[in-house]
Amino acid sequence: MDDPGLVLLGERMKPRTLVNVGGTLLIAGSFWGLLFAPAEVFMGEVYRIFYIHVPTAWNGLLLLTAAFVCAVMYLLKGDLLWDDRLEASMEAGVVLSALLTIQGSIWARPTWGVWWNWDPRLTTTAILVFAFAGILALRQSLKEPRRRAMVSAVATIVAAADVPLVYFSVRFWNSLHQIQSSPATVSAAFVWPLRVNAIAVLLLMAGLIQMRAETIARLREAGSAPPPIDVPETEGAAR
Amino acid sequence: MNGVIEGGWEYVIAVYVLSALVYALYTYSVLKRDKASRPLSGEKKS
Repeated sequence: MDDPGLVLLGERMKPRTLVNVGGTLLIAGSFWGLLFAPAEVFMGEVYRIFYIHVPTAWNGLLLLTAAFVCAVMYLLKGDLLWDDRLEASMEAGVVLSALLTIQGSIWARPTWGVWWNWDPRLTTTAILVFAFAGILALRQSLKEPRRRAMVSAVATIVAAADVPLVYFSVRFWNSLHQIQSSPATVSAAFVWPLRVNAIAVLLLMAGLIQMRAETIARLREAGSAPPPIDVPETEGAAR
Repeated sequence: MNGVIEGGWEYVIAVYVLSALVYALYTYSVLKRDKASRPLSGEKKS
């Protein structure tokens, strides 16, 4: 039976195909949003930042949720492959979460008048970036694979509590950040470039984390392989 | 002030240039590390 975790990480397609298709779609969707989508009535041209900011945010949260799933699966099954996938998902999730924070900061300057505000959405996102980046740093200090996997899994489950907080922060508290839109509240002309870029980033990241998980597995296996056996000269044996 | 933001293309361009750099550099970094690790498992570099 197919393992749902493998499907989750896009392991049913060749990773390079996913990267190529995702990268091409991302370029196409970005040009669509930049050049062909109409301007927004209040935000004018600045809203075009959403076409890259929102897909980055969705996929960043999705990848960190995938890291959480990998952590749970490692604790349940004890297979180090889940730890490899955890690191791959988390690394990509931290890159996207850090990027979305900077994108949001640049968008905030012309719309809110400030680069940064300790708003609940921004604060919980900053905590998310530092928590998961801290786990990646912690992994570097743990050399024994089983211990590293166990510590990472527990820390990931704790840190992942911030993921729903980030998502729902705009509903739980009074926030400068707008609440989530839906296709019912946004015109189709605005929605399609957003969808294309969201799928593009998803495919790109699915390919990259599959590749990265394979790389991590190779390094782990090479690191845990027994040292080569010194074979003594067989001069005497030949006689 | 009428509540409508005028211009702002410089912010849009800054975000897209930064995002393109981050996505491209991260992709390059993953591909490079993948290629470097292949000899460890006896695979040929492609």
